[in-house]
Amino acid sequence: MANMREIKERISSVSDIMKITNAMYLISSSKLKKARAFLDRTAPYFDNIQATIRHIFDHTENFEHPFFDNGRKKPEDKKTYGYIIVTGDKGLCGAYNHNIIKYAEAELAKHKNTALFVVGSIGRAYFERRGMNVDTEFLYTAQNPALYRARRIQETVTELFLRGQLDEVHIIFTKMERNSEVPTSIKLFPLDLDLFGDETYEKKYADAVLEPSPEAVMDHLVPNYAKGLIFGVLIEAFCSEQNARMTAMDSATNSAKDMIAQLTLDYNRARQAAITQEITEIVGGARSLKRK
Amino acid sequence: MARTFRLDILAVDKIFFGGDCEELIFPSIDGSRGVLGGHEPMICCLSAGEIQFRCNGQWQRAVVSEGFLEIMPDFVKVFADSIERPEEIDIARANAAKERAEERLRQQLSTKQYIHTQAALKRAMARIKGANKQI
Repeated sequence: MANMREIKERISSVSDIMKITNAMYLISSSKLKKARAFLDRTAPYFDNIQATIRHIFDHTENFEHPFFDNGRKKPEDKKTYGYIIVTGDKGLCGAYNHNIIKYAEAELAKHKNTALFVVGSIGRAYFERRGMNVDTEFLYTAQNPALYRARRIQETVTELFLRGQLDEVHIIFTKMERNSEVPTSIKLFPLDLDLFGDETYEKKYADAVLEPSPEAVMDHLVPNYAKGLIFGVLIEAFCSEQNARMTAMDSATNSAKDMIAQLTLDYNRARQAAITQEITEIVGGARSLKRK
Repeated sequence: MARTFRLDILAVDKIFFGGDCEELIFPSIDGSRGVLGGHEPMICCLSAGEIQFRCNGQWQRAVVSEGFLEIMPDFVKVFADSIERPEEIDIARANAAKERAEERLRQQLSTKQYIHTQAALKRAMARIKGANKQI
């Protein structure tokens, strides 16, 4: 059994760490509350925009536009796949970063040419170390998602897509489902109608006209839609990160409590053993004196 | 009683308006347009400016930024980045944003920066215009 002083030091170090994890738990739970409220407020826009885009495509004739340019008549191994990967900026959030990175790696392994746009420093550092094709000028934080950041990200990928440097763009992020975080991926470009759910839709209205011209409308509408989508993704990922951190810190605090309980028990045992030993020594000493 | 249609105005972070409406006027990228009930299906782009809509004979105004609209005979959906009521606008902030944008426009900018700055300027101008009408 370890000596008393050692155990005491151990107890105090564990309780110091517990203070930190508990504080982090409180911080992330308040951040989560804020992020949740924000998520709830953006949800209607997000749901509606998807339904509307679907509705719009149901009501327009087919036409050619670079955003719908699927395949681009390139062989598979010549295509470049762009991935926007949303990770956290910090660790200490359980398996959140690990899960999203593992998921992303599995996705990336499917294609030969990939280009990565990583949001969040953990993921960026990881992929850079691995020598992947990471856009080094793409520096965005995952903290406090803002609309202008979504706009910048959208502009970067849209431009590359239209210039033909990217042939497909996917977003990999963590989705909140009930109280667990699930890594998912969605396709951003080229737009294809399967993206918007394939429920058989009954066409209610005549074909819509696009004013002033289909091209002009699509030039505006698609980037707008992409921006909305990216914004929603950033918020969802931020929410997941906070949730993951909160759960991780909660369980860390709990196991610190368990450890302290166990260590206190050990400490008391050690103390008792020391006392018993002392008594035995005294009694033994007294007896040997008596015999003389 | 005028023919009405369902109007939903959605901003990124809130539902600004949802209800029956008689008439809607909005700034499109090629000028101002009006919508009445039973309009032909149309998809349109919204540019920064002021939208007006009439419910129960009462005109209401709001300042919007870029977005798009889906117009169908019995409903209209407006999607915009931000929507504010004129009384919510912080004139001082809008003025500062305008000056900042004008300052930047005087400098040499890349095409992308130029487009950004112009969009910012347009938003600021729309805000100032919308708020000034109020007073």
